[in-house]
Amino acid sequence: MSNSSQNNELEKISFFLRKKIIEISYQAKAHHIGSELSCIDILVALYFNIMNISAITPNDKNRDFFILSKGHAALALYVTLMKKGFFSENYLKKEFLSDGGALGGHPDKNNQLGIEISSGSLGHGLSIGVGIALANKKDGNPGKAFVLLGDGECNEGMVWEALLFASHQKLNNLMAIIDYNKLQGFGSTKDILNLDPLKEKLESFGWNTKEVNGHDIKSIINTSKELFEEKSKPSLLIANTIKGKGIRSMENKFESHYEVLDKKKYLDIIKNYQ
Amino acid sequence: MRNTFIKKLIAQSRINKDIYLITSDLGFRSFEPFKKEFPDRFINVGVSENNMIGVSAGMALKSKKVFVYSILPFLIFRSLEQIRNNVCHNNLDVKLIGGGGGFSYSVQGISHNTTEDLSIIRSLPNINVFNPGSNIEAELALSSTFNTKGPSFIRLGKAPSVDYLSEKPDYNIGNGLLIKDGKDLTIFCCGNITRVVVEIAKELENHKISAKIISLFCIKPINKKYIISNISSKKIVTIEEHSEVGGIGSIIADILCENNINNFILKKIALKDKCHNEIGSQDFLRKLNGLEKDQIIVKIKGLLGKND
Repeated sequence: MSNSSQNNELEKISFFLRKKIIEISYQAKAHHIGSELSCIDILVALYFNIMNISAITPNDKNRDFFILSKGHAALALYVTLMKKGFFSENYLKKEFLSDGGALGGHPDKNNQLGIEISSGSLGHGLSIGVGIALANKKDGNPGKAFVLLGDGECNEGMVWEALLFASHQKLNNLMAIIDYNKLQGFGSTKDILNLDPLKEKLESFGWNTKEVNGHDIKSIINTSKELFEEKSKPSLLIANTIKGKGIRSMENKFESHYEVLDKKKYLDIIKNYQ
Repeated sequence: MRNTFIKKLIAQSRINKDIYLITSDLGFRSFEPFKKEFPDRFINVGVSENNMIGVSAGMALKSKKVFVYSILPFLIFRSLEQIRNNVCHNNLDVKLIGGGGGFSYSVQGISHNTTEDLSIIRSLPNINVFNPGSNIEAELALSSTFNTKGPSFIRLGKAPSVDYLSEKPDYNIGNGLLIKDGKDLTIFCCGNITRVVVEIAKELENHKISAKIISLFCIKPINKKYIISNISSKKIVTIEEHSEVGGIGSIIADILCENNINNFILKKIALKDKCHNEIGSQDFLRKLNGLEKDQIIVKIKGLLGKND
């Protein structure tokens, strides 16, 4: 497959998964839709190009690991794992937020389903990714660790402990991606706890850092490759994103973090989704 | 006790190449031999306990057996959520080694002395919890961590120079250790204070009181049948250098009640549920809290109606 046709293919996957996020969220009365739409293109780039992960060989010792540190975007991970072949759409619909179901509002470790670790409390994931990358380095294992963080999550002190330690250990087999949609719990990150200048902060912590449009899958893939060319530092991708991306009524609205779709809004979204 | 830990860990690390020792910059003048022999398997994360637990969980996901060390409150209280969510909930092979149980840090105050840890840590799922009172008990606890794959917690304290156990006994996890037999009174104890309890039992003999001592250096899992079958008197005492909330006093009370064991009298000798911010030596702090040898003897004699 040529590069351009593959990119086209990945965009189609993204389009399909966005629709699934809307559908399944509506059916399950789930919230966090805005966060999921914000990061779904990143997940598609990771799972369908950048990472070495397969549902057929989940126990491959040399495979890559993905940690969804912003665990509230669980459904974005679930639809990606579904598309990747870890489970069926029917399974996802049956298990998501249901009594006794396997797929909760925050991911719970389950090797068979492709969920590496339980997450949901913000700030934990980067350290876990660091541990995986460090163990791989000690073993000469080629596997890499990828960690997706939210921007609000970067308020957590533990994130900065992990940033310090990973660069000290020169973990060039680790990539952190910050889903920088610039909105958090009560509004804009600028107003609540300003992260800027984020790139300069991360660079000063010793990370090889690049910014990218977090909805441009091709650009995410190419920039990741460039980042890994640096051999003495961990990689950091600041993905500039739009919360609620793809659904006009949700875009750039922090309320899309909490909103549960009613029938009218759902039908309106589906009608206009193209 | 910390030196026993490091000596045993070194010996085991020669056999098991997956063992790592991670510290948040503590263990100076103790861990150097490990660092010297296994420089690649000694990781100092710096003063950052939360990151340390997360990194350990990540390494355990890649089949490493990780021993994590810090002073108890920093290890348990600062990182409780990381321990709960990352380690215990996911049942990862991370062994938490905490230094300075009870009043071991004496004059260093509330930030270092740790008297609520057992209660909190034993409520977490999947974890084995040990509170050894001597080097031999510490070795038994460590052997268990070498042979199991899930989370464990060991609360280290100061070991008596002469062990109250004459040799390493056979041990099944969940049981206690019979330190001394007796018929008038059954004492359950654990950790730092066990050495004092042994002295107390000797002195009680002079007062014609025959006390049985069971050391519950493993407080989770707990073999309830073992506990019940070892109660050899109507009167039972629990002694611990830990809060009266949730320690072995609570464990024994639960077992007695759950099993409808009637007609017993239980006396819990433990620290009151209050802020222990007084400054002083370990002996001073024990005395302030009714845990000094003679104070305990008076309490026991009172329980048995034998005070002069």
